[in-house]
This record gives sequence, structure tokens and C-alpha cells, in this order.
Amino acid sequence: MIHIRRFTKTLFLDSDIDPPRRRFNRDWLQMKKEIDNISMSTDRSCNLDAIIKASRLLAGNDDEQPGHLVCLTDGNVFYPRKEFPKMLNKLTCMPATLHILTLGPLQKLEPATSLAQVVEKTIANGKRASLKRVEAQEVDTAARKLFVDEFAPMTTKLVLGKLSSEMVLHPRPPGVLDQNNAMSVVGFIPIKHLSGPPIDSNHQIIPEAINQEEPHLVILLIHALLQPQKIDRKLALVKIGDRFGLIQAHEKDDAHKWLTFSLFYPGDMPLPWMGSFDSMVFADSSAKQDYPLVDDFAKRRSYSTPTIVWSKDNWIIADLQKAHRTAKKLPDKQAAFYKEVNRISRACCVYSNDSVLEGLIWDDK
Amino acid sequence: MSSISSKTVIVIDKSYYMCRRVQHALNVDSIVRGNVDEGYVQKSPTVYQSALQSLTEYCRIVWDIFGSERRFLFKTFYKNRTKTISNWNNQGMDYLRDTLRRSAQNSPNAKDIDASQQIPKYTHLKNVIEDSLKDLAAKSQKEEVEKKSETGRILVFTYATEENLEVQSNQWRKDLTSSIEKINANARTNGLVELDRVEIVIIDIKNEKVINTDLKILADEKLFKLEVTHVEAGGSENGKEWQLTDRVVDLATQHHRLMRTMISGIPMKEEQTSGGGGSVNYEVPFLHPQLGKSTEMVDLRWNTPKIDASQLRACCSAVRISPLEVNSRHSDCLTKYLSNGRRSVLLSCKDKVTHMLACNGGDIYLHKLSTPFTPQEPPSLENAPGGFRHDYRVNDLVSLINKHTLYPSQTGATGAVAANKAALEQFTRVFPLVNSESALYSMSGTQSVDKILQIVPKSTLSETEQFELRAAAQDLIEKELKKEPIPWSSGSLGGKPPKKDEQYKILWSELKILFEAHIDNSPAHKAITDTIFAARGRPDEPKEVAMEVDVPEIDKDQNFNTEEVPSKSIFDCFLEMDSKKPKRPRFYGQVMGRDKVQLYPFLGGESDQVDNMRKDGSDNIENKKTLDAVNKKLMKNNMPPKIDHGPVDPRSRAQRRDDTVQRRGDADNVQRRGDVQDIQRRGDQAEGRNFNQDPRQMHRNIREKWK
Repeated sequence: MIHIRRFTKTLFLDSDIDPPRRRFNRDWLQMKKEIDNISMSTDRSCNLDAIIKASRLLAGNDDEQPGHLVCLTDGNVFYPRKEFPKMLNKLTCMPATLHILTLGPLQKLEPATSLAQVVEKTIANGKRASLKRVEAQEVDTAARKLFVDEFAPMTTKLVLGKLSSEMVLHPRPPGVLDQNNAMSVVGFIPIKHLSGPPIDSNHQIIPEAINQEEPHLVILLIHALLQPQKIDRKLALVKIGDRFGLIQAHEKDDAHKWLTFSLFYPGDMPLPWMGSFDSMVFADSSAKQDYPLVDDFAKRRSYSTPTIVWSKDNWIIADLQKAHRTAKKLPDKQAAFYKEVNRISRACCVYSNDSVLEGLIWDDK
Repeated sequence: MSSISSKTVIVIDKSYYMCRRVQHALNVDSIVRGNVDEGYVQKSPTVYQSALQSLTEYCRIVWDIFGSERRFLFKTFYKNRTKTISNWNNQGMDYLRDTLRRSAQNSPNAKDIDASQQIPKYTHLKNVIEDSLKDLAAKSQKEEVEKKSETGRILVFTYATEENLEVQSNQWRKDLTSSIEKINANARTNGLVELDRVEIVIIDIKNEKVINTDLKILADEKLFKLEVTHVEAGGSENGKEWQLTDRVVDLATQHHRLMRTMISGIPMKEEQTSGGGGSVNYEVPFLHPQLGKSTEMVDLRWNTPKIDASQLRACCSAVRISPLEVNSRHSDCLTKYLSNGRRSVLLSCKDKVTHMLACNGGDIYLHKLSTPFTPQEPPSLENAPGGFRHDYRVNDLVSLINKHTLYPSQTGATGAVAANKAALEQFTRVFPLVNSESALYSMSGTQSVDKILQIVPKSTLSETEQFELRAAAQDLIEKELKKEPIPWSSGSLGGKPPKKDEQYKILWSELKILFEAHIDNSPAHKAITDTIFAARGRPDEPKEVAMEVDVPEIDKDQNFNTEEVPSKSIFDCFLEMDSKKPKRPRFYGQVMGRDKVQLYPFLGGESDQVDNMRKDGSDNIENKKTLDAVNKKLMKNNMPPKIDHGPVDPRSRAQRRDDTVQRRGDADNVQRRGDVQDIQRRGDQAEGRNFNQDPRQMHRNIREKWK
């Protein structure tokens, strides 16, 4: 998507105009042909509008890996100042990582401030975004750097205590830019306690080594994680940079086995029912407690405790009918009857509504 | 910057106007007795009671989903005075119920009509909102807190006597702006956090039908947004519409960005008494935050509760839920089913399994499933570096994994990641990946080596562990002295194993590396390392004398046998044990000599009778008494039992050693049997086997013969 200002050349590629021709594909030759055939026009349009439209192409599909939106622009925004905040509010859900590359020097401060607000808004909504100014002669270097930082497979080390081996993660984990970030194993978690953890992205681990005959930690880890029975298997909890993730071993048959790395969402507690990963301990620790971790507030949820909600008449009706049913079974269901009556009387005290209890008492007379 | 939904002030009007009863009463009698016409007991709640019930519902939904992340502060206002009845620290439905119960003592009173009418409603509300703004403003210093500004929401449940609150929107704008600016100026002076953006909603509750219940914006400024909505308290005439409750639930959905989802097709068994014996499908609606990237509402269908716990489901998002009708039977049934057994249920949308309901840690979560990440062409292990090897120390790594399994912490103290990494580093200081080309790790599986590998990496050594280490080292020294072979493995690379002496040199050098890597763990580690390697001596001259091992003290008065006990081999020990065992009669086939029990000695051939007597002597068994008497006499006289063809005890036949048993009528078989026995006897003599002599001597003879 290319947008260049009118005073040099105005060029706008609107995906709404050419939807049949604009499809995601991996055919580089076809894409090169399309880029070479981009038509020039004198349209004055806004790059923010284009960003919002382009982001819609990446929205709505949770099955796939999060995508990237690269915007090449001269940085000019044509919206009136008063309408810009309203347009900015439309950026509530950027489904991908946003990269804005401004080509050439920025002539006015205003566009830079506007684009910076776009980046800030995207980051505030929990996604990654960046804004870079690129001179004309540095375009090639900038493009290569963008590719290496965001798209190229990441070569890093898997570290387990004093053991380490080289490996490649593909595709690259988002937000982990530093090549020096090794993936360190923090401990191991039984698979039966995880219960569908929400994952940000998944990556395949490919072992790398100069000497193909040397033993490799990734291979040993594959065998060790697959050896126990399925129900007793464990996953390795790892930390890369400031993000946590899981390493899981898979097998199709005896010859085909591999490791995958799943990256959690940012934060120390991506799984509330496991507690903070930064406070998990080994079995020999005195502070250890068994799974699952029950939040204090969990015991007070409305579905875990006897809750009386009388905001609608049929809910009052249900409670009264229940008390009436137990009253019919007296003296056998005496305990249940008193339990219901006490519950209703407590609710009457809370809502200052004694009429309900009076009605129940009158009938019982 | 904090979220605008993180703090909410709820204000409840307690003026006279809130005493008014709702329009449509609840016929308790019809419920209890079933008489619709005779409305003997008709009770209408007041507007105040309806307000309490609806705000409780608002708080319940928010607390179910967000817990203590979303905080509420409750205030009441009466006679132009606002009173705070709770605090920011205590949250939860139980606390709210206690708070409302305590404040129920000062419910709106019909006698207070004069006091309520003295001050215009607009003034009341303005004062209330200004007080609430002060409660929202933080009292923390800017440097102490991370956030740069404070924000929040104010909900006012009131009965606005003036119908035209909307007309006064300019007045609202002016007054509220100046109030917020005053508060911020004060905050700037005192170095406190300023107010940034506040949302104010006035819920005007009527006791009559309201046609237009939409939310109207009275002012939308940079610092605040003011909205008002008019709703009717209680139910509508047809009993199907509850404007106040629906509006409050909508506000909760809008303010906290919730979505409504329905689960249908839930099979629940009806009670027998209600006439239905089978299961009926129910629907349960609930609220939850946005799940994943999609904001589209979905209807989910019950799929299956049978989920394999060993399979990790790929999910992209998981959020807590709050049942919309928590009181209803089917909603209660579903939540109890999930939370009591900590079960998980798969849900499908358009015939595809897309979601999962699971109880995790007491909370019910809705998970959105994603497509599992599987490569189109799974990689082959053999093509990977080191993938073709089969000598990995898998069992050792499995035991390391089991020792370093993570658990939640009771204290919740952070910083455990660094400690856990340090613990892993300690146990992997010396940890070869393979056991080939190694003496020490080739022997893993033996007791002594396993003990060493398990105990040495520990942080501290108890006395028992030190004793075990010394015993394990002693065992290795003895093995070296006896030159026992080490199960050397060359792995997949092949190659000839080194000589035994060389293997033990490698073993001790590897042990030295292991011990020295952990020598700084504790003083006990250093001491045990010095002890073991001092006792072992030089690698090329292992000491033959056994290392001193701590043994319990012996009683000095006890007499010991001072005779020299010759050294014994293990074979001698087994022989000795064998000789001590009582001799048991052996089966015919086991014994090579003549000393054996004969079950059916004369059975064989065409006839089992000789001289009108049964070959197996069973006829004589029937005359047991007679036979016993005869044999007794013979034994008295030191004579062998009678072996004549007369009445002979067949049991004694088994003990006969007479080689000249003559059996008439079966001479061929007897001869054949005698020939076989002769051959066997000759064979025994040739081999040196004589089962009549001491077994130890017999085995020595055999060994000498075969030397």
C-alpha cells in the first residue's frame, strides 16, 4: 500500500477499488508485476483512512498468526484537525503489527504528531506499532532491517540450566527483536493442569548445529518430553526477553517428532488460574501449593455462592416457589425449608423489601 | 493511564420520591397459592428497592468477570448531604450485601417530603456529582503512582422531579467543568494526580411508564461526559419488560465492553415429579468480555463434555463469564456442573467446534479455540543434527524434569524465575547429553552410580546422604579391584571400547569432574570429595584395602570365632544354601538316579496287572492296615520292607534300592526300564555325578574333570 503526497506524486492504492486483484499470496513475481503496474492519480487522500481500510483485511480471523501492516507514506494527513480525533477513535482494534515508514523529509510538524498519535493509539490497544523516517537513499537498508527485525526466522539459543543449543524459530516471535535473547527454560508444567491456555502466536523450533553428529539439546528434550504416558506429560515453561511461552513436543510417528514454541500474551500472569509465572516454585519449596490456584475472589463469584437477584419478578417468583415446595415437605425437609426462608429474609434485609417475606409468612399461616 | 472502568462511584438517592411504589405489583398470592384472581397479598416494591436490586445486578456482573480489578464505591444522598457507606478496599457481593443491610436502617421515609422539596433537584444532583468527583480524584502523590491521571465513572440512581434535565445541559457543562478544574487545580498544588476523563450517567427512575428510554448525552467535554436515561421501575403491565433492569444490564455491557452469548442445546434431566423423565435441552445466556479479535455475537451449541485432559487445546483467548440469569435453574445447573467437577465442555458454532467452557481455579472461563499449529510436512528426526543418535540420556532428563516441576506459590512472592534458573543450572553443571564414550554415564542404572548422580548436585548433604555417597564410592572401588566390566557404549558412532583399566581411569576422572563441579555447594561437599578421592588414592594404584566406612560399635564382650574363614565364592554360597534346604522328593523326570518317587511304577504295557495284582499296587492301598502292620514288624527287625509280590505297601516300593525287581508279565518293559536305568547310572559315573555324595564335592569333581 503506497501513498505519496500530491506535490511530488499523489498515488493512492485503495483496496476497495481493486478487491478482486488484491489477494494475499506468496507469488513474488505476481506481486512484483502488480507493484510495477500501480497507476498514478492526483487524488488527495488520507493515509489514516487507508490504514483503517487495510487493517480490515487482517481482522476477524483468530485462527491465523497475527499479521503485519506496512505503510509507506510521505506522512501527510489531510483531515481537519477537529475530525482527526474521531478518526483516531476508529483505530480501536488494530489486528496486526503496524509499521509506518515515512519516505523523505517531513516538511511540517503536524503530520509527524498525527502519525505518532496513530502509533500511540495502536500501542495503547495492546498491539505493536512503529514509526520510522527513511531518507530516499536509505530505503533499501531500511527495508532489509525491517525484514530482519520482523519477518526473518529468528536464530537463538535454547538454554536449560548449563545446557544450551542453537535453534531457529519460525516464524519470528513478535516483539522479540534482540538476537541476544536466548530462550531459557524456567521449569516444567504438567499438561493436565493447563486446560487450553490462550496463546498469542505459535512457532516451530528447528534445531541448528554446525556438526550434524554432535548430540543436540532439542533432540534430547523431544525424547524426554514424549517419553512419559500422555496424561503425565509435561511442557517446558520458557522465558524469552520479557515474554513467557511454552515448549511442547509433538509426534506423528516414530520418525517424525518436533518441538513447537507457543508465546503467551505479554505480562507475568497470562493464565490467571496458574498465578504469576514469576512466583511459581519447584516441588521442594515450602511455599508450594497444589494445582489449581484458587483466587480469593473465585469463592465469591455469584455462581459459587448462594446469590439472590430480585431485579426481575420471575426471579422473586422462583425463590418463593422453592421455599413453598420445601414447606410442603415439612417436617422431612425442615433444614431445607429454614435454609430457603433464611435466604429470603437476608435478601429482604438487603433490599429493604419486607413485603416478600410477609407474603410468604402469611401463606404459611 | 488507568481504565475508565476501573473505578465507579454509585450514588443512590434516599429522598422521599424514592418511596413511591412501582406501578405493577407482584402478586405473591398467585405465586404461592396459584390463585391469579384473588390478589389477597399484593406487594409492590418501592422505587428505592428497585434501584438497589438493579445496581446489585450491575455489580454482580462486573465482579463475576473482572473480580477486584473493577472497584466500586457506594454513596447515598439525602437532605442535600451525601454519605459514603463503603470504601475502595472492600469489594465483592458479600461486602455489598452487608453494606446495604447496614444502610437499610435509613431507608427513604414518606415523612420527609418537606425536606426533600426544599432544595431543587438540580442542586441536589450537582452537589452529589461534585462530591463523587472528589472521591474519584486520587489522594496519592504523583511520584508514588505510575499513572499520570485519574479517571472513572459515576452512576446516580435518582428520581428526578424536573422532567427537563436535558434543557439544563449548558448549566451542567459550565458547573461540572468548573468543579473538575477546581479539583485539578487543588491536585496540582498538592502534587496529587489530576482527573482526566470522567463519565457520569444519571438514571432517572420513574414509577410510571416511560416511552423513550434511550441514553441521552447532556454534555460531552474533554474532561467529562454526562448522560441521562429515564426508565420505569418494576415490570411492565404484561410482565415481560423490565426497563430499569434491562437498562442497567445494557450499561454494564457498554461500559465494560461485554458481549452476550447464548449456549443452546444443553441436555438437562428433568425431575421425575414434573412429568418428564428424559432430558430436555435448555439455553443459558451469559455475558463475557470480547473474545479474540471478533466482535461478532455468536450462538454456541453444546457439543460434548468428554474432553481428554492429556490433550492441550489450542486457544487464542480465554475470558471469565457471568450468567445473565444466575437465579434460574438451568443456569445454576450448568455452572454447578462445571465448577463442582472442574469439567470442561466443548461448544460448537455452525457444526464446527469453536469454543470451550472450562472451570479453572474455581472460575468459569470461555475459551476460543484456534486451529492447532501443525506443520504441513512434519520434520524428520533423523535429518536433524544429532537426530540419528540413540544414546541420549533420556531417563536422566525425565527425572530432572520431574524434580523441577513448577507449582503455584502460596506466598505469591515474585523473583522466583531467577531462583528456578539457578536451581536448574546447579543440576546441569555436569550433564552430558549422551551416555556413550563415558564410563560413569554408561553405568547409570546401577545403584551406586545413580546414588552419586542424584545426591552430589544437591545444595546440602545430610549425614545419611554422605554415608550413601561413601558406600557408593566403596562399591565402585571394589568393582575396580575385581575388574568387573563396565557396560561401555560407543553409541551410534561405533568403535572399540577401551581396556578395563582405561575404563576405570575414565570413570574416576569423570567422577572427579562431577564432584569438583559441586565442591562449593556446601562444606559437606568439600569434605566428602576429599574423603572419597583420598581413599581412592592414585588412579593407577587403587587401594586394595576397603575404605573405612562408619559401622555401629560392636559389643566387646561378645565372643567371636577367631578361626580363619576361608574366602568363598558366590557359587560356594549358593551350594551351601542349597545343601541346607530340606530334601524334597523330586519328580521322576528331574532325578537321574534311582532315588525317586514312582507314581505308577508298574504302569505301562498292555496290562496293568501282574499275578492278579494291580501294577500300581492300588489293591494294596486298600489293605492299608494290614500292610502297615507287616511293614512295622519288618522294620523292627531291621529288615527292608517286604517286596514280595504279596501284599506289599506300594509306598515302600518307592524306597526300594533293589535292582533286581522282577515283574512277571511285563518282563520286556522291566528289562527296558532296567536298561535305561543302567545307562543313566553309567552316564553319571562317566560324568562324575554321584548324587549319593556331598553335592559340593560332586560339583568339585565335575569342575576338575572339565578343567
